[in-house]
Amino acid sequence: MIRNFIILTVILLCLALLDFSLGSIYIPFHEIIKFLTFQMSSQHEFYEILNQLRLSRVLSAMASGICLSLSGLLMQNYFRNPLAGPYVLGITSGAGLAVAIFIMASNVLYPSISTWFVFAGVSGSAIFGSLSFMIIIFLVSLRLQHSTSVLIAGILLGTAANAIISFLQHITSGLQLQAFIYWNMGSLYNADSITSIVILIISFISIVILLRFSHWLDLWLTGDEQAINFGVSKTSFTLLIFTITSVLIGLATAFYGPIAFVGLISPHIARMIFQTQLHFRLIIFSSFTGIYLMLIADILMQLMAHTNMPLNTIISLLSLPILSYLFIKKKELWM
Amino acid sequence: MDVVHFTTHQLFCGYKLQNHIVYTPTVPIQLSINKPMLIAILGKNGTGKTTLLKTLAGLHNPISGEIKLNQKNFNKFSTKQKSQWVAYLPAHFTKIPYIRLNEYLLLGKNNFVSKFSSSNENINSVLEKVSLVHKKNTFLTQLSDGEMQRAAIARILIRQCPLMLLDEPLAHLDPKQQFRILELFKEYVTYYNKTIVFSSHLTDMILSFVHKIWLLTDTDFIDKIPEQIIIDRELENNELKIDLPSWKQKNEPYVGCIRIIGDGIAYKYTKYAFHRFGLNTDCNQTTTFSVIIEQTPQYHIRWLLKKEQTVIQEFTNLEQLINFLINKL
Repeated sequence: MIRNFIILTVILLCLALLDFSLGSIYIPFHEIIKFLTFQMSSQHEFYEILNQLRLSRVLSAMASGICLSLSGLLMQNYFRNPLAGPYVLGITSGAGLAVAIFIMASNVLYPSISTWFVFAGVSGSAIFGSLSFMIIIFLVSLRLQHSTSVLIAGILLGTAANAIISFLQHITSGLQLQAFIYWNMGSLYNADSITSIVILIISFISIVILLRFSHWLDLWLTGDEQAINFGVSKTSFTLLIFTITSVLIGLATAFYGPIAFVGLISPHIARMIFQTQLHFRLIIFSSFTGIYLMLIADILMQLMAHTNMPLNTIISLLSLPILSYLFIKKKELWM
Repeated sequence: MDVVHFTTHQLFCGYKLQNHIVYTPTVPIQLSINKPMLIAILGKNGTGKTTLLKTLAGLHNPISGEIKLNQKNFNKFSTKQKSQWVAYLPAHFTKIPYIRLNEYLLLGKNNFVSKFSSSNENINSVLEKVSLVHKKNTFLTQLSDGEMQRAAIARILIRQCPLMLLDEPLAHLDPKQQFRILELFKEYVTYYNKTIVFSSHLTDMILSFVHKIWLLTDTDFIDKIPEQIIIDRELENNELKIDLPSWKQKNEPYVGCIRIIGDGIAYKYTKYAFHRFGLNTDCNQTTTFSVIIEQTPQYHIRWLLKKEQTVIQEFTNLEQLINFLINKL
């Protein structure tokens, strides 16, 4: 476990360094290390680029990776379904709908988040959107016993939300529409470093809380009745999972846009590589795989900068081969 | 907290549907456990064995009546308190992927405060009791249903709850393992002062093991010791025991007339097989063939086929003999 943790951290640092160095201009590693250890003077030619652009980008990739993979892991656990994930269950779309309504109603130009009003408004509406969609999904899941039906309900809900979003796009015009479309493509440039650090701190707190209750997550997989008989309070557990998931998805969706697939596949990659389902490890491992996916996606984006490919396109193209490999190679993906 | 005093008073279990209540079992349950016992719940399908077990485990709320544990209302206990007193094993369990057997046994241990390895000894001794030590590091998905069932039983036993409720714990096991698990239950009752209640359909096997039987019928809840159940012919009256239909099947017309010479079990089943394939053995006509059943020096059975005093062929497989005869006749 400790050895794995060290290896994972080293890989993380390498990917982060690579991501730091790539961009409109190449910055050598030793300069980045100087910057990260606060030894670079603010007059240095790279200082502004690193401080203004690259730092926020790398931090955004890390924050979004953790938020998405954790929420994916929690949804797969709660619904005991390998296909569950924030995007599949329509929760990202719920957050999107709330953000769309906020952007289009409040008349602000989204990508330039400058005031705390916009910060609180966008994040608040995204959290509200994801939470209310999660509650709807939860109520539906109480009615439908089979977890596949819950997935279908989620897909329908997401489709409905997307339809309303399209309608909103249709009736608004100009800059609001542009702002929303940019947000919808997903981007690591919208949030500044402070925002990402705040999100990272929130996700670290979530990780600690989840590690404290990781035995509940393990027990939950044995079925409702077994979990309750082993002392898991269903109400507290549901509350815990739903609160953490909606905060994480809400934050990630608000600032990085509705990013697809990362939440679905990073827990699977972690399970397959480390061959474990014990959530004490899985929470940590899938946070890492989530960060890796986001960093790799960003590195690819920088390498193909001339194509101006949106983040969501890259992630979908990246996820597809991984997902197909997992499904074809490892037949016992889950149950 | 070793000995439990577990009583129910006018307990009605069942489900509340939209406009009416389904009572399963249909009758009020009045029971009391005041010393460690091994109890079997018997009853036909659909008489409410599982609902009763779930209600006793506190997973279902009773429709009316109350359950008392050591004179306190059990349904008012918190989830955590309930889990310390009563362990419940459902009839179906999921084989969680990427979980190894030893991890499964300790699933639910809070690794934030305690280390995994501390209970290693405990795991080994329980696994030995259900003869799964050699599978300790196997993934659950690679276990057979019977092995998984034993693993689940081990997981319940390791919890050391004073009252254990198990729903069909013997369902997937082979006869030898059923016997061993019943012995194990008895050991836990006798030496560890646990009370174990389990449901089963293996009436014959469990009768000699259990201290008490709770028999659920459509109209009654019977709580008696097994001997009393047998004396009162309760099992026969409730269709829990039936006479097996005879082996003989008279579907096809009988052909030929074959005499079988031999004795014991080989004679009996050779005759049954001939009848099943439509070969006549009881006839007054002159016999066409005769079959002599013999034991070889290696204690195998062989069939000598004779026609008018001369041995035509020797068989060591009954099916080949029958096919030969059918072709000849």
